[in-house]
Formats: sequence, structure tokens, C-alpha cells
Amino acid sequence: MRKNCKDIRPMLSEFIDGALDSEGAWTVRMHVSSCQSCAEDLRLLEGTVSLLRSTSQPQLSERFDASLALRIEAARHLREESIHGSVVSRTLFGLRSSLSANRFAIGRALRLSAPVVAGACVMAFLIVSAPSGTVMRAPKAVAVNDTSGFVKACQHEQQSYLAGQPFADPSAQALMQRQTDDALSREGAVLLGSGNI
Amino acid sequence: MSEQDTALVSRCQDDDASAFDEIVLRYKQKIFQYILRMVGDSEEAEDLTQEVFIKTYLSLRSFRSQASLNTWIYRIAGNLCIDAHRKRVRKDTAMGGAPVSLDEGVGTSGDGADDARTSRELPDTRLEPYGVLARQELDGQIQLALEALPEKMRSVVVLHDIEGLAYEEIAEIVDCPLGTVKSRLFNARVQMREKLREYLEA
Ligand SMILES: [Zn+2]
Repeated sequence: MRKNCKDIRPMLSEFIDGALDSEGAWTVRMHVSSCQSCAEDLRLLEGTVSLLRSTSQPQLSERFDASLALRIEAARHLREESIHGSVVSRTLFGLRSSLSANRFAIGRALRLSAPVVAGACVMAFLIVSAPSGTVMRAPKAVAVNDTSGFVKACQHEQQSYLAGQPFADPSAQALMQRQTDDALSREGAVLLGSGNI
Repeated sequence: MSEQDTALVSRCQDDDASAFDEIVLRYKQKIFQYILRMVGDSEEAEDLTQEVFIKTYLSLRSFRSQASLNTWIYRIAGNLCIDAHRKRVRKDTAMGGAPVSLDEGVGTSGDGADDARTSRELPDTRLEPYGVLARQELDGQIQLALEALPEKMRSVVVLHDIEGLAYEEIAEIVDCPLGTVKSRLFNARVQMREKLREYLEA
């Protein structure tokens, strides 16, 4: 049975993927060998597919891993809390009331390796210094040098914290807490929404 | 599901943190690429990619091994993209701005495209005659053409032609019959072909 162009066209996409059975593939091959217009269609469609396959792989930013580690920590903490029963109300009310929970999470976050925490501090700085909008994202190209003083302050706070000493710099402490709060709030939302995956 | 994935999942279920790190390492680029192609903005895409892994992390305990880890993670990603899209539409409408249309930002920053792109081997069809600038422009045009597609078509063509997934996997990820995957893919490719025609004539 000879197929016409209207029947062949929808088969071209599968033909390119090698997904037709041998009879289907043979039908397409026979048709395009004698039909200029379908042959041209096929050529352009193949070209389209190879353009798509050749697109550059976008790269994740360098802060991705550190930031994810922090958010996972917060999520883990929230889950542990939820196992103990009190998380829902706390999440709903913004986690503000629970200083002990914050300190607990900070402690866990601090136990991450030093570079990770340093990266997180840079992020906290960028988040807090962003324009008043609520978008918690760092601008793309920021010289890390600009924040090295801050990173040092944060590292100092981490050491104080780990050594059980009071924070020396209240603003760094506030930032650490605020960042942890933000992470916890976000992860609280994720946690609450995670039933509907 | 691959033996490796099965092992990773059960290690995670036994609270082995390094197993989860491995899952992240294995999937982060792929998931990021998928989401970026869907939402068009690289910062939003990174944020959503992180959310995918948080959801994955939180639900690993209830994961049953008859599903594939691969399609499961992509499913989470797809659902997050849909949610993000809805939110954006709502916000745009509320602000009286242009409905739906995505940011023009293309967000493809990579020139180091040499990492393993997908789990499947794709033929290396990188176009040698293009210089770096032309390559960037072409990538930008491809992203714009993708964004002009309806979301359901875009998802299928990205998963198949960029991420290298099989029809069957895609059917599971987007939750529709195999025939629908094939016809969406065909229609998407035809629309892409029309948008990219000037790059194909050469
Ligand atoms: Zn014909």
C-alpha cells in the first residue's frame, strides 16, 4: 500500500529516533527517496534535532552546593522536629518563637566544613545586603574580596559558637540567625508541601 | 531501576549521608538543565533545582524501589516547574503585566559543555563551524524558540532531545500515554524547525 505525504509526515519524528518498526522505517525511506518535499522536511527536522542536542550545558553557580547543603540541613532539622510533633505550628508561625531551635540548627550548620560555611556567610551577606525586595538571591558577579572581612567575622563567630563562647559581633550573630531562619522558613514550606509530589 | 540507583536509595534510607551527596552529584546538572529550559531564568532554575533535592531528600524514606529514581526525580522537577509557572502567571496577572511571557534572559552561561550531558550516549553533534559568539547566539535562539512552545510540548522536547530520555521514561515523568509523548514531540520539533529555519538552511 502506498502512503501519501500526509501519512508520512507524522512518522518522520519517530523515524529520526529510530523508533519505527522495520516496515515503518522502510515505508518512510521509500517515500522520501521519491518525494522531494518530504525529503526536505526530514532533512530540516533532523537538523532541528541535532541543534537541540548540541546546545551548551548550562553550569550551576559555585554557591550551589553550599547553599543546598544548608537548606538540606534545615530540612533535616525540621523533619526531626516534626517527628517530635511540634513543627507544624512552629512553621506556620514563622519559626520566630523558637530560639533554641535556631541555635540548634546553627550549630548543625556550623559543623559543615569551613569552606562551606564561609560560602554560606558570603551568601547571607549578599542576601541581607540585597535591595529591600524579598528576593533572596545573590547578584551573579560579586567580588568575593569585598566580603572577606565579613567572612572572617563569621568564621570568628563560628569558632566562638563551637567553643561555647558568646558571640562577639552581634550583627554577624543576627545574620547567622536570620539566614538560618530564612532557610528554615523555606524548608518548612517545602516540607509542608512535600505530600503532593 | 539501575542497580546503582537501587543501592544508593537503600543507603540513603539507612541514613548514609554520602549516598545522598552522590545522588545530588549524579543528577544536579541534568535537573538544572531541564528546569532552566523550562523556566528560562538561571537563578530561579537553581533555586528550583535545590527544591527538587530537598523534596527528594525528604521523601526518600517512602520511596519504593519499583519506581525508577531517575523518573522520580524528574517528576518532582516537572511538578515544581508547573507550580512555578502558575505562580508566575498569577503574579503577572495581579501586577497587570504581560501575561505568561517569560523573561527574555536566556541564562545559558556554559561554554564548558564537555561534562557528560546525559546518562545516555548522544552523538556528538556539536557544530564545529560555529564560533563561540555564534554558538551563544544560537543557544539563545534555541532557548527563545523553546519558550515559545506550550509548556507540555516544551517539557517533552527538552526531556527527549536535550536530556536524552526515552519515550517510556518521559511518559512516566509527564504522566501521559506513550502516543501522546510521540505526538507532542513531533509537534514540538516542527515548531522548533520553523523558528530555527534560518540556522538550518545552510
Ligand atoms: Zn511526500
